[in-house]
Amino acid sequence: MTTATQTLSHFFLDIREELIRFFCRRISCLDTAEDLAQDTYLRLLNYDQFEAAENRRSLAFAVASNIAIDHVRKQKVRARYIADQHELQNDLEFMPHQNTSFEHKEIIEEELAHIHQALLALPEDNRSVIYLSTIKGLTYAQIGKCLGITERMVAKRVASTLKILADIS
Amino acid sequence: MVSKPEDTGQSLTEQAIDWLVIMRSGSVDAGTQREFEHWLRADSTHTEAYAKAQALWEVTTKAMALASAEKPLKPAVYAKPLALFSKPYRIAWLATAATLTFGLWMAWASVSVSLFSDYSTTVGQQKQVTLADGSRVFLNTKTAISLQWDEHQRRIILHNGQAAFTVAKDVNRPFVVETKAASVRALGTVFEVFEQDAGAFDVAVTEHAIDVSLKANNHANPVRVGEAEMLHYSGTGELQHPELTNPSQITAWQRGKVIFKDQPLDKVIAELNRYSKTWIVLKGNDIKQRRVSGVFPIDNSTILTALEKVFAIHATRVGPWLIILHT
Repeated sequence: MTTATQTLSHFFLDIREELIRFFCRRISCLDTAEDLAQDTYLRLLNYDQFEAAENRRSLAFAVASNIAIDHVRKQKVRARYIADQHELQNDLEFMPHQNTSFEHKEIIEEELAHIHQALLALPEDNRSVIYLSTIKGLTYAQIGKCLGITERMVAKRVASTLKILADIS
Repeated sequence: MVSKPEDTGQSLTEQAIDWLVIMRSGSVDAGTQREFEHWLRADSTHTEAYAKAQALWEVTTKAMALASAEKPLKPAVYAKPLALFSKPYRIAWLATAATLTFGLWMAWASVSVSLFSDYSTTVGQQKQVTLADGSRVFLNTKTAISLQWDEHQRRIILHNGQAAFTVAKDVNRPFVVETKAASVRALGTVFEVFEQDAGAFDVAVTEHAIDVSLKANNHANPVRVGEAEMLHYSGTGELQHPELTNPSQITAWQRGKVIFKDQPLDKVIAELNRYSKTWIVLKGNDIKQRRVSGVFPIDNSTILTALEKVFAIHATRVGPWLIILHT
């Protein structure tokens, strides 16, 4: 182990706790704070002039501060995506099932029966795309290959069929 | 790519259906995803309309299961398209390939999995896909899955690699992930499966629970793995009991990170090699056993520089494909 690295490691160990507290104040998650302290260490390792730097402490915290800002920015983007996904999933999954009373069940049963009958009455072309998409879980590209039509045609057919079913239900 | 819904002259219900149709296409890029989210957030009536469209899709799935039993479709519908070759074909093809030279065989082996799977990633790539039922799959590096869905279940074959699943509810059709050795049944869940060599695998759960059973021993009771638990199977013997784990640690790869807690260097390198097109090898037994702790980005250049400095070891690059680490 080189002395330079040793010095940095020792220096880092000295300020590690402080760095973690620094990140904790900004991020308020201990796990992440530990991760980011580690990131700071990696960043400093790759910084060739570090040994020669005059005030290593303030340099370390300047790096840490950049990392924190960067992290918060990334988290915001990510959080928006995840929250959207989650919220979506929750909103959408539970909305139709919120009320599972007997009456509500009856309504659903009735809707199921309507759509069932409508599907049976639809042309086979429409039923095929719906079958392959819902039951088989195929992508439109795969359905296209299967039926010898373009992906675009598949999308159009799925959409028009759903619109018919929406009118009925 | 499927065309985007136009606002002009369409009712909200119709717009919502158009978006749903796009989101279930199996080929949604990041730009489309953003546009969709933008549309969805633009107004609460949009969210409501989309929820209705999704409910319509669910009830249509149920109705379709009934309808297809009563009135079968053309045989062409039940035949699998090229991307979904069934097993015997695959073996025949692989046998043909085996007669070619070894080099070609290696190339083919990696191509074949992605060719015969429905969704796959190459080394170093990660991908998020939304399946037709709304479930989401996050594929890690060098991963391939196929879908074998029918009226009774949503079966997913994990050919190789690692994937995290966020499962959409469908009480009539359980969601099952199969590895070489086991099948994993989701109970309304977020979980991941990591298929390794010789039937070995890891499963970990971040929400709710899963049931794991070995295919070779399917009369035994399945092992339940609960929230924040993981289960490792070595490839032989019985399934062990799950152990508690740190969810943020298991899902690190989904945030583009690898986490090591006091791991020997050879294990660390094996993990890095999963993501790296450049193969990293360690020379010398003494350095293999050095211990590493830390959180690193998946990209190996940062971690290699760090290792070089901390352990005072050297990385020698041999062409674009090989890095040798030595003292």
